[in-house]
Amino acid sequence: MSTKEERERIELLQGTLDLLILRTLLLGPAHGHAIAKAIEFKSDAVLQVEQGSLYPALHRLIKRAWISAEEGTSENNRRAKYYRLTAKGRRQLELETRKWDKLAGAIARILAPAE
Amino acid sequence: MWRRKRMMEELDADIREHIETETQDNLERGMAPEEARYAAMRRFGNVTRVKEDTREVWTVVWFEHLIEDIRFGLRMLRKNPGFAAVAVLTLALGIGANTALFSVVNAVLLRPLPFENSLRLVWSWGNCSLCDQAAVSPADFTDYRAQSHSFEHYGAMAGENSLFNLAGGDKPIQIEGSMVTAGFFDALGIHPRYGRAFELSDEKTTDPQVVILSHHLWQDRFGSDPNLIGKSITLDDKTRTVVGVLANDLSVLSRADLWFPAPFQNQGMQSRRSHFLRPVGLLRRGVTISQAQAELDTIAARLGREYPDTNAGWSLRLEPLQSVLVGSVRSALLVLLAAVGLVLLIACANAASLLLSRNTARRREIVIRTAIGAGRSRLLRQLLTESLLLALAGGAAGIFLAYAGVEFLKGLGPRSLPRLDEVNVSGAVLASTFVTAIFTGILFGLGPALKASRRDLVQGLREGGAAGDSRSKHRAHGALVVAEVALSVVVLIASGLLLNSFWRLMRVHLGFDPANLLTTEVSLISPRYDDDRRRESFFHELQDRIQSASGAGSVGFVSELPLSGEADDTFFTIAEHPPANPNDNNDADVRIIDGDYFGAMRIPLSGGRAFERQDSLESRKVVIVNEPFVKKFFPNENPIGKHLKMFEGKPEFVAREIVGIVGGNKHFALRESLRPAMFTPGSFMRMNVVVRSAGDPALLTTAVRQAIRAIDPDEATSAFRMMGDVVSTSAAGDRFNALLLGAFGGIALLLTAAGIFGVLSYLVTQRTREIGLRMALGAQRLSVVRLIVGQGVRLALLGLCIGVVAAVVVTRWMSSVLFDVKPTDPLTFAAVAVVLGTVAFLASYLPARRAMRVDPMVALRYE
Repeated sequence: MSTKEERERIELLQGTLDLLILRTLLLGPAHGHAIAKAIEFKSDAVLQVEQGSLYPALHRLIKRAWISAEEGTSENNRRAKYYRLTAKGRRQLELETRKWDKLAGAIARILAPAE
Repeated sequence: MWRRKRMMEELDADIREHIETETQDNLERGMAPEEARYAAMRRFGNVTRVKEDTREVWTVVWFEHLIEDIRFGLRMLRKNPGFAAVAVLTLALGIGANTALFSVVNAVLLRPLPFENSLRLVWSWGNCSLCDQAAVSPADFTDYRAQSHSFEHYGAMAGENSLFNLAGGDKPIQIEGSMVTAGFFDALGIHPRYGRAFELSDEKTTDPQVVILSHHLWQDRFGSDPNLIGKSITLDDKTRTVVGVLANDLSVLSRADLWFPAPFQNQGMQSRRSHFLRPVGLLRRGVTISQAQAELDTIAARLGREYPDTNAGWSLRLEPLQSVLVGSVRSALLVLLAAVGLVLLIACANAASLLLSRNTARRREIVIRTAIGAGRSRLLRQLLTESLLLALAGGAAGIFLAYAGVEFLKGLGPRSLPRLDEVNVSGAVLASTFVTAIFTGILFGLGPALKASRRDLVQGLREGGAAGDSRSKHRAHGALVVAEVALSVVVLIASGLLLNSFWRLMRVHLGFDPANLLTTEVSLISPRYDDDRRRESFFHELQDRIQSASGAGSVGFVSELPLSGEADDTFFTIAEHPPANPNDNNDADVRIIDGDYFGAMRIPLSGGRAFERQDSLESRKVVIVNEPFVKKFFPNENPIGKHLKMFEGKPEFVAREIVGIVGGNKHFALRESLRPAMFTPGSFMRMNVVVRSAGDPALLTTAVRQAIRAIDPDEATSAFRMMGDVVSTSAAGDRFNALLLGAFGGIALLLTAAGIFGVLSYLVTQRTREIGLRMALGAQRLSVVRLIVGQGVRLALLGLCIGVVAAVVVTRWMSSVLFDVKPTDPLTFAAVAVVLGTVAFLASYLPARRAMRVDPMVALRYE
């Protein structure tokens, strides 16, 4: 079933999607489809999220009060939810980003060829 | 649930919209419409799985919050171990008392009887113009059994057990046998472990040939021998064949050691006049109790026409077996249950006021949590989680208390409480405790939590957590104290009434003197005592031998010992006042006595003479009656010399001359009024011996045993009892109620005292600054004490008034369990008011003393 192209895409680490969503919403409120597109676009389509998996993550973030959802209209002029970063989410994003930088840095140092 | 549904619908809409947008994008990229839609779907992934995952997220996050709340709650409780311990202990007392009592109520009232189809089991009472709980005659029983169609099985047992000597082992033992008919075990759904139940063929005899053993007799006497069926045992020198062994004991219904079939071909079993069978029936499926009753009424009417001499006016009244067995204790248990429920409410009020005080101390924390965005519902949840934790801890501790309490209750073991051996802390009880704990946690937690979370943010921050002084804030505390006092007044008055009633019951005039009175049973079962003279000489010699022992006073014998549960009555007419209709018989208790029964019991002779030996030796036709008898049947007339024609088992009534009058005595129960009774001279095969002792009656047991053995070494004696114990056993049910309600009253008082003390201590802390200010401005220490004590006593008085009014309304339901005390007994009400007033004063005085010691300088610097 899977094509070669799909196999080269990277599976997202657990929890990473949450971080990406928060980062995306830092730019302003967006609805589900736009968030998915933004993540795809910014990662040059390397991180191709199965779009559906976005929704459990969005709901987890709402429940943790890191983002909030509000009613709005979509580009198609239909009822759709807009997601917005909360103050708590903004703090969480800072925290998670620092954690991520540390982790990425550590892994990069380990993997770097000895000088 | 509806909230979940709405969220699901929104999720659906979101997903639809998402796929729609993606399809649009694909179309813009130039895909064909079909392909565009298909690609969008594939891009999105499995819709069903996404929905499932989302739903799971909701649950997981809900649990995460719960665990967070619990962790935080536990941390808060650990930070305040004193507060937690007091709250848990308070709740444990309330919940534990409820659990223990509910174990009893569950086993006695709620759990179905330990019989198959217990809901279809009905009891039959004999009903006549003068009686409604009589037994049924054997001839009537067989007619009802043969003619009715409402029952799947209809059987009966004899109202009283018979005693037998069972041979075997080194010494014969005395056991109780119960006569039952075929159909008795079938109706109850009891299948023997070995062998079979009785069949109609077992009844076709003049002398029962077969027996069924109880489980305990089979275990204790026959070593659980599995091959006992078909073997013979020797009962009273006669050989009987064991045809069955029961799998369990029937302790609810009978304490018999073995059963034998009713020998319906025996002359004594043809009677319609002697009523001694107790029928029990299993209603056919679909037949209601009133349908069966209608059928029995028809049969009764037919029997009345056929045998007008014996059956006119007689019928059967059906009652569900469950209500027969436990109906008498229902009202007492419900009173106790209500009282223990009030105790739990008091515990809740206590816990609530503790929480109120704590939440005030935590105001700063709550305000900060609100300020950083905790919603009200989130805050409520946190506070409720904490109170539920307290309640569950209290419930767990309460279960330990309940285990101890149940053992204690079973130890009290009143005979009047059926099914006591079935009482345990069962799964159903534990489930109810869990529910009670949850309910309790919400009950005492919700109020304080609502109050705390309602706090206005701005005001809260401005106060900065300082102790506020506004009066309205203390109104909740005051209301709780008032409620607590009111509730405990009701419990205390109820327990006071019951204790008062028990005290009177213990001092009721018995009509005889139970102190220093020893009693035992003697049964002359061997056939040589079928001879009257031999029996008489046995008892007369026994009397002489016992009386000659040192320390022994009068010795007498009686067929039915007072307050032991034994009873007999018979029909009679007064020869000098013959009834208009020859079938209009009177009915009164009758006892056979021998020796110096009245002397030993100290029942006073108020006219005529007592019996002498010649009366019984020559079977003289004499009778002694008691004062209640005279009052009822010979008003305004001297009965001495008159004659009673008494039914003594034969068709011809026996005329006896009244030779003496004695005082009345309690016979069935301490509660009842004195009953008319007749005494005839003689001895039965089985008699109760009563021995008056000069000193400790226990010292006479050896003398009595030796005297019996010296006359006839083969006769077994049963255990000795002190008459005082017989009396107190007969009041065991009342003692049980009084002790229990007394204990509940004690707990209520303790909790209330703790509650008043806690609230006033808290208020003193809150008012420290104000008190310091007052003192700095010259207030005397005494006036400070008056201020604090006055506050406590005012609240207590208000609670007292409300409680007294509530008690007047509520205690009316207690009248059925009270003896000689009105539900509105002013003495009890006054005593409770004084006790509670004193306790309230003391509980307010201790915090007031602390207030008095407030140093104005320190207080003003406070905070």
